[in-house]
Amino acid sequence: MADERSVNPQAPTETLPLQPYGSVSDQIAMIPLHYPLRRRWLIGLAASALFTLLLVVAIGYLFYAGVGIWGINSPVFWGLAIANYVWWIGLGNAGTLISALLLLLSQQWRNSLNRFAEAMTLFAVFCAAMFPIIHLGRPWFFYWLLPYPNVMALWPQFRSPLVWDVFANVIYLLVSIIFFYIGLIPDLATVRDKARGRLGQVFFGVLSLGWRGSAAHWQRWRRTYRICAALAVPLVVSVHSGVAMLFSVGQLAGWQTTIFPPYFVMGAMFSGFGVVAMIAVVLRHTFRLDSLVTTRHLDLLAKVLLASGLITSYGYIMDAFTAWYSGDPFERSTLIDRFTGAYAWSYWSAVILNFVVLQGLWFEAVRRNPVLLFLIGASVTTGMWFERYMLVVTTLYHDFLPSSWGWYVATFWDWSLLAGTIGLFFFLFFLFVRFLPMISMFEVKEVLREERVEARNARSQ
Amino acid sequence: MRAFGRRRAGNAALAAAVLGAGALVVAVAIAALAGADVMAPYLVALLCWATIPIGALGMLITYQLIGGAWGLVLGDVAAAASRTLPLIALLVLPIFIFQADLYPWHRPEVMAEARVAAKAGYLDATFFTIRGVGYLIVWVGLGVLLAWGEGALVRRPRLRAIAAIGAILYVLSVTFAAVDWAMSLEPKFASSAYGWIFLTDALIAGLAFSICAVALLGRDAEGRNPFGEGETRVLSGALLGCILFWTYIVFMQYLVIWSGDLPDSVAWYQARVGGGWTPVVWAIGLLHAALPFLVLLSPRARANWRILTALAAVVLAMRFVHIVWLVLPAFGEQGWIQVPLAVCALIGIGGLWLGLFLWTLPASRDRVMVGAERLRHG
Repeated sequence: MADERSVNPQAPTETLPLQPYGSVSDQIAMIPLHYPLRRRWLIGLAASALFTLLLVVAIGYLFYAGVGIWGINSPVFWGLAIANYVWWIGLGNAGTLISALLLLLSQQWRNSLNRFAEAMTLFAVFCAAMFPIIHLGRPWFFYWLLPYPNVMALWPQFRSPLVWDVFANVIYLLVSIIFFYIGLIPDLATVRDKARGRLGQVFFGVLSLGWRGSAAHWQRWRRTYRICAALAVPLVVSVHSGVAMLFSVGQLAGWQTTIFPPYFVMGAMFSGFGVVAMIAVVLRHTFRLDSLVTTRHLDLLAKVLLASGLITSYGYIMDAFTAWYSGDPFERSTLIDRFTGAYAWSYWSAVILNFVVLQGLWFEAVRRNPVLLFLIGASVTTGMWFERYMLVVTTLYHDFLPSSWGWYVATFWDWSLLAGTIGLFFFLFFLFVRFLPMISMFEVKEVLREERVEARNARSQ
Repeated sequence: MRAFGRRRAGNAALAAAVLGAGALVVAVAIAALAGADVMAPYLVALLCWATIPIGALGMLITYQLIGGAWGLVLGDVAAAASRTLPLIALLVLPIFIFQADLYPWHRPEVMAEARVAAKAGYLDATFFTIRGVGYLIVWVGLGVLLAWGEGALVRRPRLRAIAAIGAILYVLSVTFAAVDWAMSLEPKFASSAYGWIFLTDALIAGLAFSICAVALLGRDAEGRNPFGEGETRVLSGALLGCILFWTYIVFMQYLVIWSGDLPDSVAWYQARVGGGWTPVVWAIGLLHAALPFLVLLSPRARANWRILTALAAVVLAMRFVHIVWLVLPAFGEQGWIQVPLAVCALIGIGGLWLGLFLWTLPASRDRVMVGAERLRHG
C-alpha cells in the first residue's frame, strides 16, 4: 500500500492521473451513502417531478380525449409523438455503444463513462417506448402487435416494421437492463461493504447477489458481461434500423431512400454522444470528479462526437444528392420543400445546430473546454430533435396530390409530452445519481492498475 | 523456409506485368475478331482491381487517425498498394475517352426520358471527366502524402491532420466515383446507399488483400507466423466487423427497395437475379457473408492465422464476384463472349497492377520485409 501511495500523482499518464485505489472507491461509493448536495438534489428532483406530473396529466387526458388533442390531422398523421420517439431512442443508443462497443474494442477510456451512459440509455429508452403505445389511439390494444395465439387465428403483419420495432425495442430494453445490472454488481458489493446503516447494507446486499469478488466470480462475470455487450451492439443497430424502416419501407418521397437505416444509426449515435458529453461535464463539475473524468475523456468524447457528426452529415449529403439525382419530380419537390418550404426552419436548424456548430471540435482547445463541449453537446441534442421533426413533417405535409396538402402545428399537449418525458428522464437520472454508484469503480481501478504497471515499467527502464 | 528475395520479387513483378499486358492485347484481339465490346469487361476488371489500392488508402487514413498494432503489420503492404494508385489513374483514362461506348446516358434516346433528362447537367461528358480527374487527384495525392517516403508507418500530428481532411475527401470521392463510374451505367437507378456499399467493398478488398499478401510474403526464413496471435485476433475482428457491416448495408438497400417496390429500383435487382446470376447471388451470400461470420464467431478460429488467411482469400475472391455482379448486368445480355473477355481483362489489369505492387514493396538489402517480420527486425 505504501508503495502505491508513493507513486507520483503528477506522472504523465494515458487517461487517469495516478491515485490510490481507495480514493476511487471513496469518491464514488460515498456519493450514494453520504450524499453531498442534499438540498440541490431535492430541488432538482422536485422540479423534474413537476414535469413528470405534467406527463401523467398529458397522458391521462390523451387517454380520456383521444389523439385529437394533438396537432395531427390529414395529411400529417405523424407529428411530435413520432419525432419524440425517434429522438429519445436515438439518444439512448449512444449509451450502449459507448459501453458495449468500446468494451469489445478494448477502449479503456470508456471505463469512466460507461455507467452513467448506460443509465442514460435506460431512461431514454423508457421515455421512447412510451410514444408508440400512446400514439396508437387505442393504447389498450397494444398487445395486438404481439404474435400471440388466438382463436381468431389473427397474426400481426410480419412484413411491417411496426412489428419489427416491437421486437427490437422490447429485446433492446431487456438486454440494456441486464447489461447495466451485470455491470453494476461488483460496485454494488463495494457500496454494501462500505455501508454503515442497516438499511443500506440490506439494500445493496440484496442487489449485489452475494458478490465476494472471488476469481471464479470475476471469470464468470467477465464472460457474461462480454456476451451481453456482443448482443447489445447488433441490437442497437437493429433498433435504429427498424426505426428507419418505419419511414423508408413506404413509397413517400423523402422517406423511400436506401441510406436511411445506416444514416439513422449514425444519427442516433451522434445525438447520444452529445448527451453523454453533456452529462459527463455536469457530473464532473458537480461532484468534483476531475480526477476520474479527465480532460482527456472530454477530448476523446469530443472526437467521437465530431466523427459521428461527420458521418451523419454524409447521410444528409447522400440523401439530398440522391433525391435530386433520382430525377423524380416528387423527390425533388420534397427536397426543395426541405430547403425553402414552410418547415425549412427545421431543416436549417438541424444543419446549423448539428454540423456548423460541431466544426468547433476540430480545435483541441474547444474539445478540452468543458463549457464549450457542453454547449456543443446541447446544440447537437437540439439539432437532432429538429432533424426528427423535419423528417416527419416535411414529407407528410406535401404528398403526391396538391389537393391533399396540409399543415401541422403542434398543440400544447404535444409539447407537454415532450416536456414531460424530459422531466421523467431527469427524475430518473436524479434518483440514479443519488442511489447508485455513477461511475464504475472497479473498471476505473482496472485502468489505474494498468497505468501503474506502465509507469513502473517506464521508471525501471 | 522460403525467403521472398528482392530479385525474385523483381522477376515476379516483371512476369506479372508482361502477362497482364499480353492478356489485355488478347482481350482486344478477341473483341475485334468477335465484334464484341471490350470496354464493358475492361471497366468491370478495372473496378475490381481498383478497389484494392483504394481500400488500402482507406486503411492508411484510418491508421493515421486511430492507430493500432494492425497498422504496423499490414501497413507496408497497404502503403505499397496505395503507391500503385497512379497506375489506376492511368488505367481509368480509357474510361474517359471511350465513355460514349460505356454509358447509356450518352445516347439521345436514353436522355429523352424525363427522369434522365432531369439530371443532364450531372450526366454530362465534360463534367463526368472533370469529376473523374478530381477523384484521381485526391487518391493519388493522398497516396503520395501518406504512403510515400518513410512516414507511412509512423503516426505524426502532421500526417494525422492530412488524414482527417483526407478522410472527408476520400469518402466523398469514392462515393461519387461509384455513382459516376458504376451506378450511372443504369441512369434510372438511384440508391443513396450505393456509394457506401462501394466504399465498404473497397475497404474489405484492401484489408483482405493485405492479410493475404502479408501471409504469403511475410514469413521469414524460419517460416514463423506472419502475424502474432494478438494481431491475428485484431485482424480477425476487423474482418468480421467489416463483413457484418457490408452484409448489413447491402441487405438494407435490398430491403428498402423490396418494400418500396418502385419500378426503376426493382428493375436494377431484376437484372441481377435469374439467368446465370442466381447462383452468383447465393455464392456471395454464403461465401462472403455466412461463412466468414460463422467461422469467425469462434474465438479459437479468430486466433488462428491460417484460418484468417484462408477466409481473407475467399472474401477477396468474392469481392471480385460482387463487383462483377454489381456492374456487368448493367450491360444486359451479351452472350458467352463476355466470359473470355472478362477473364482476359481481369488477368490483364490484375497482372499490370500486381506487377507494380510487387515492384514497389519495401525491401531491405535482399529481402522483402512485411508484417511481423518487419516488426521483429525493426
